[in-house]
Amino acid sequence: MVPPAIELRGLRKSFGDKAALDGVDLVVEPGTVLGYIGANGAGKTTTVRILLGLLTPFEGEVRVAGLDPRADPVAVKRISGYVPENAMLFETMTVAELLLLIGRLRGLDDELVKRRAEEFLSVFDLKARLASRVSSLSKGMRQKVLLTGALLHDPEVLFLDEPLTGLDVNSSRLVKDLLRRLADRGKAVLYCSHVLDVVERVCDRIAILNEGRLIAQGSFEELQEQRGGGSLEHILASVASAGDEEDRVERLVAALGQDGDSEG
Amino acid sequence: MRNPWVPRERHSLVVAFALWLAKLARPVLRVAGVEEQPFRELLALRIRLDLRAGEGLNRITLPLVLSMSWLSGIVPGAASLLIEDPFRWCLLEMAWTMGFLGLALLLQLGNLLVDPTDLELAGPLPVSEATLYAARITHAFTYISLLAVCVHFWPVFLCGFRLSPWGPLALLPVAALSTLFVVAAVAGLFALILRVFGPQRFRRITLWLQVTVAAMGMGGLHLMRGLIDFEAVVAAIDRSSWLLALFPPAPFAGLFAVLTGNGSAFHGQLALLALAVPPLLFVVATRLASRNLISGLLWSDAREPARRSPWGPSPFQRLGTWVARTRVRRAGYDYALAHSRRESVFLRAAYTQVFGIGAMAFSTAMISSGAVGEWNRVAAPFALYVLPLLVPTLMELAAATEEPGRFAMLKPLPLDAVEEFYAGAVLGVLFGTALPAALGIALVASLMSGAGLLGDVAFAAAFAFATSLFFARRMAVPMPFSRAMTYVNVNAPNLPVVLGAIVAVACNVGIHAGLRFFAAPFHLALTPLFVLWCVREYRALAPALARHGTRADLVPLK
Repeated sequence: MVPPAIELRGLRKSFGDKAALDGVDLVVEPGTVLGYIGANGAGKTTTVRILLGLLTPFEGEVRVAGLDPRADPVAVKRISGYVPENAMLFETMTVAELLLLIGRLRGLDDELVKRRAEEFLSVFDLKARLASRVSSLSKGMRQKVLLTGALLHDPEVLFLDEPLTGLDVNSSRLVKDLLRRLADRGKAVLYCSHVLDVVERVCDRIAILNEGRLIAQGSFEELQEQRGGGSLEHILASVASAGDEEDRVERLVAALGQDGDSEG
Repeated sequence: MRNPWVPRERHSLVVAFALWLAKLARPVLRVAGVEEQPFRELLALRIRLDLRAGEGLNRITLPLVLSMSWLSGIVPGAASLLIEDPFRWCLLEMAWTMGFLGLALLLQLGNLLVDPTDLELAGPLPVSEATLYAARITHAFTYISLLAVCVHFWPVFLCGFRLSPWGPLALLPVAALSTLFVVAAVAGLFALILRVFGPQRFRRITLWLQVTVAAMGMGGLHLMRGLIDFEAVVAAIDRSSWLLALFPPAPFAGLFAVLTGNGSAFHGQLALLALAVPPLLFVVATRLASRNLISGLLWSDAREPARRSPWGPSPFQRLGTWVARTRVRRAGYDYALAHSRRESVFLRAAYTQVFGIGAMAFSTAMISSGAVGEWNRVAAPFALYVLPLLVPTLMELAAATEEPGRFAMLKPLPLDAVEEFYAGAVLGVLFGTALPAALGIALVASLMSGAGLLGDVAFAAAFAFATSLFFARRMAVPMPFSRAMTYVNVNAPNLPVVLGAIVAVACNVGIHAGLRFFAAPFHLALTPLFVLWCVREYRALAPALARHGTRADLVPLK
């Protein structure tokens, strides 16, 4: 039997007195794109870091394709790809050097890395920038390089933290289609995002995290059924809203209207 | 056109040297559970990034640092012409060089073991934590080896004349093993902290370890005089010679004695220790760091916020309203003040310097408090004269940040007067951190050293303060907390200022002593003059910074 791609049982993680994750239970089967959504600071990135074996200690059971990231983080990383939201790339490296480094650290043959990287970058219209330094790339271009790096080894499980940030319309559509095709090939994708209409369209299942707790999960249609219809934005607002939106907007506008003092 | 797949530094000597070391250490790496290929990649990457971070400066600064190390080897080298016993001489030589290299590692290169810069990329990749740590240790070992080659130059050159014709040849492996011992011991200690205290407290405890060792190394021997009975220690070693093996330089001296043909059976046992302990320590360090290393390095404290209001001004923020008059300048001041309290690269380097120099000042004060008569009066305010040395050092350290990308958030702000922001930020480092830290240490140390010297202390304080401002406004300080950290460079245009400050410390003490002996108490009449000089320097400071701001590299904001 094929184990679930991702399995969390009673996952708890605290930073000092603050609970970042408070008993999260989640299962993602292979061939699924899971939208993992929630407000800022809800615990999405912490979950991904734990799944990748980057953050210890924690309580509960965690498995990635049947592997325990606490006991064998290297094995988990070998089958995973990761696109972080704000990666600190090595600014003084060139794109080619960076991808070659990633490939070598993943134990891939140089020729395979070059071939795959050139193919990916030409699809992303970035092949001409192979010799450019990372510091000269725009945010969207960096994101494309990160995606290329995460896919070089054809991972079983893909962790994407806001992967479309900074991408132009065409590239964004390309990535969305790519995610679907990858899922069709049996890969599992954990997709963290605040762009809810994309989550609605791309993801098979959606899990909503609020202050470290998983408060709802299911397909978009199931969530609609539970919450009486509407868009994902409405569903999210109904389960994880911090209060009356109209009142909050009013307060923001009122704050802008307050008198400021002049330069002394 | 250059092939984009071939790195530029393919022929770099430092990279080649590091990879050669890695090849040499292959059996040890295997025992330590290190994967060879990723290890080589990570090692080459770390050094390449260092070389690129300071392009154009290496040609000036690297030789300067190496030549300072070269000069420091003259003392143990000359001692070989005076001490006939190879074991005793090598004991002295090893104690000197291992102390020098250990301090260099903790003061200058300690961040190499604990910085998280390569983890954003390497962390999610399938590389074992033992491999990551081994690359860091070897990275540090590469630079420490370059320093070791220079420090050992004179001992290797001179020990053949009187000690033994085989001395120079014998010293080479001894020096290599002792250097490995120094790096592996520090790395082992850090890894032990990770295991014992867990990833949550790893970075904080290693910081305080660095600070403590730096303080002990720079001034602690004097402080320990009151705590340890050295005569009793020597007597104990005479009774049970095996105790000597606990003194780290002794096994290496034993190995030297054996290699030069002067060894006893006891030296033979020490030699075995010298051969076994350094690689063993390396293996232990890597094994200990094979769990939770990434978590420890990436851990950020989620401490409870301070009780006071986040907008309530601290005393240093209040000071900012006086020294940074315009709003943009004030913004720069507060920006630098906030970073100087939280930026881990800065704190790690600044704390070690402040506490190290502080310990030196306190130990001087303790010596002078035991002295009598006029010497007491001269030595007491000496601590104040560390000001002109510590101030430029701290200002220089404030350039680096662990996350230079964050600086970009200032970009969209309508900073039409970037130079103003820059001047405020430099003033923030100077008045928010450098001057208060230096002045605080120096005043406490001076007052500790003897009562009834307030006149001398005031004289020295005004003199040192004026000298510090004199040097501060001549420094080419980059935009504070805006650059990626680097290990092989200092800011070349500031070298004359730092060297000038070193000379100034000696001159100020000399002038003070001369005036006290030949013109006391009339020299105190000079105090108001120095106060006026302080005012003059302070007034010239902001315009000088604004002028420098127009030349400084402010590209990130423009």
